[in-house]
Amino acid sequence: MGNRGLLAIGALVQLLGSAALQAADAGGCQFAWDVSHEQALFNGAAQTVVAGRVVSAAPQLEPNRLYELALAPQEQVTFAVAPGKKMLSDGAYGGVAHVHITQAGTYRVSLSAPFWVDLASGDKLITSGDFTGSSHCDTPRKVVQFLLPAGDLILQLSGATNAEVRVTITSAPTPNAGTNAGH
Amino acid sequence: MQGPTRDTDGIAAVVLARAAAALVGVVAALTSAAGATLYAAPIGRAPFISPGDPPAWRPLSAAEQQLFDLGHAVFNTPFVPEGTPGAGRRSGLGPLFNAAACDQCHNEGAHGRGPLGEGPAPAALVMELQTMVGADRSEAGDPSYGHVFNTHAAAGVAAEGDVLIHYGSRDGHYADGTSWNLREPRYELSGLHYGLLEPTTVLEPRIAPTLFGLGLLEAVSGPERHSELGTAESGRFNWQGTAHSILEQTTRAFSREMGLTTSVLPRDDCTLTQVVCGQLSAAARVPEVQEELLQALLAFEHWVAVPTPLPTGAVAAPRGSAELFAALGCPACHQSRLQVRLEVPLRGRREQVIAPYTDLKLHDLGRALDDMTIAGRPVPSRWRTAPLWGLGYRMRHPLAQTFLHDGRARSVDEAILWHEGEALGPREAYIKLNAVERDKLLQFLSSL
Repeated sequence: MGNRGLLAIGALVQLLGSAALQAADAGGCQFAWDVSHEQALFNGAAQTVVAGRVVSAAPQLEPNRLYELALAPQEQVTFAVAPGKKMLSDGAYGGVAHVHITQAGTYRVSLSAPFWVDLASGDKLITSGDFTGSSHCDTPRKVVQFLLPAGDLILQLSGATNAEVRVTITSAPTPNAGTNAGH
Repeated sequence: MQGPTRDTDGIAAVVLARAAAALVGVVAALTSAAGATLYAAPIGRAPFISPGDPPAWRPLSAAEQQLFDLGHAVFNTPFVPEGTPGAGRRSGLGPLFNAAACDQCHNEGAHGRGPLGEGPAPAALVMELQTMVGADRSEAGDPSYGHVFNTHAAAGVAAEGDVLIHYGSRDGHYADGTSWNLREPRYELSGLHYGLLEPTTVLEPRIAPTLFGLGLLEAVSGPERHSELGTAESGRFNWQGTAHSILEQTTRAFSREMGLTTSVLPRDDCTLTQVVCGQLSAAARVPEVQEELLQALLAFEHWVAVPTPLPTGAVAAPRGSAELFAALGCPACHQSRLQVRLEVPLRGRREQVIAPYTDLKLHDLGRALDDMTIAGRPVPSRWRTAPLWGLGYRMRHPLAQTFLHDGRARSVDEAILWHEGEALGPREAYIKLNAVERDKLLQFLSSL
């Protein structure tokens, strides 16, 4: 059946009544990849942590755990490197945290709110490889993938207007990091 | 050893003959149209060393650079609903919207991220709505849903619903026997919160197009250019030339896709059916986007350059590939050179040349790309020739690998195969190429 026939049926269904279609509302959590591991973590209990306003006072985050970070007004945060996305900072919150990666590979940072997330190695930002998101959701809402080296890294959050955010860092099941992706 | 004679040898000869004729025609056109001016090196391209920090197409003064940077920040900033504590200049999103930031759809100024498969449409694919009046599309949106189907809403307001994509299949093969498979979309609007759409409403799925080089397209020269564009209604922007200026397009997107009012378009896209939307909109400050921020964003859009294929610069096209592009007839619409008149001199003169690979005109590309009404009636659709500059950058970008107005094409090859109507000749000629020749053409396109 061609496009027109299918569309006609689609329109007919719509004309027959929106209630049935509302039952099939797809406004749930839809991601470009399988994020079931991250969703399982987000369905658990979160450890509340105060994010750092400076790197020297930043908390240490462990992979595969769910944290709720309490953030500070962004103008009070000193980042290790300027955030990778220029934005207006009106009403924005931010914070920094340490992350130790024991084995190089592809990792995901998942967030409950639409913060801009950077990972820095020393004074250099690590370019993200890909991202997916579902703006109707917060368990998680946004997942950003990075190809990370082993070692100590700095997680930086900026740009959103939420004072708290839940966050996980997980190892990605399959390498999918490209280059130069915005998120 | 002499190999077997290939059917495509004859095609290659035709291609070369057409190429020669096309080049003669191009030279004649260049000479007659603008004397030696069009031989100048085209402007507008720059390496994007860091995609998050796109350059301008001309040197900017310190004040201009500051404006450009502010505009870039506005472009990237997610706006938030009225009443968000401390939100300041970024407040005013909604009540109904599709995205909170320009960047959410136009990823770093690039073409929006298209659909990977069936299911909910990605943020960068919006469903525009227009009502038919007789045989023509009117400026009016759907009476209940307005000009754009908004999939998100601020707290306390119901979003309009969801856009779902389903794909059928369209198969074919090249002359050398290699098969292809195209995905043919149909769209379903579900979870309708404001009743049914009018049967005559036209569904217009549109991917957020690239923003690179917009200021130069706006600067394409003169009244003679305007007459070439046809009717006064034909604009230079958008998939169908429905916007005449960057200002018009930007303020329209703010209003209809982000629920942000501006000094130019001081109203949201609420309809009479959407009572709460109307009440909240009436109570909000106007304009929601401060004039300083709007002007900065326009400056950013005006000056942002067109990326070279690689961060290190240009890529050489294979020998003979440009001639192949010409021989297929592509430059009939994808014109390599246009003259622009700049607001300030560059290299000592205002008159310059760009290489956008578009004629900025509207063309019929065949029935397969036609939009459809809710009632399932196809609506003849004319498409502005998509600029091909920056295509090499796009083809190397990991996140933007869909093409055409609704992202149905998963490759440039597929995009060519969707060309029919006025472009049927070049498409048929492309089908007759062998794999090596097709690859050569694609390499040429990836050098743009």
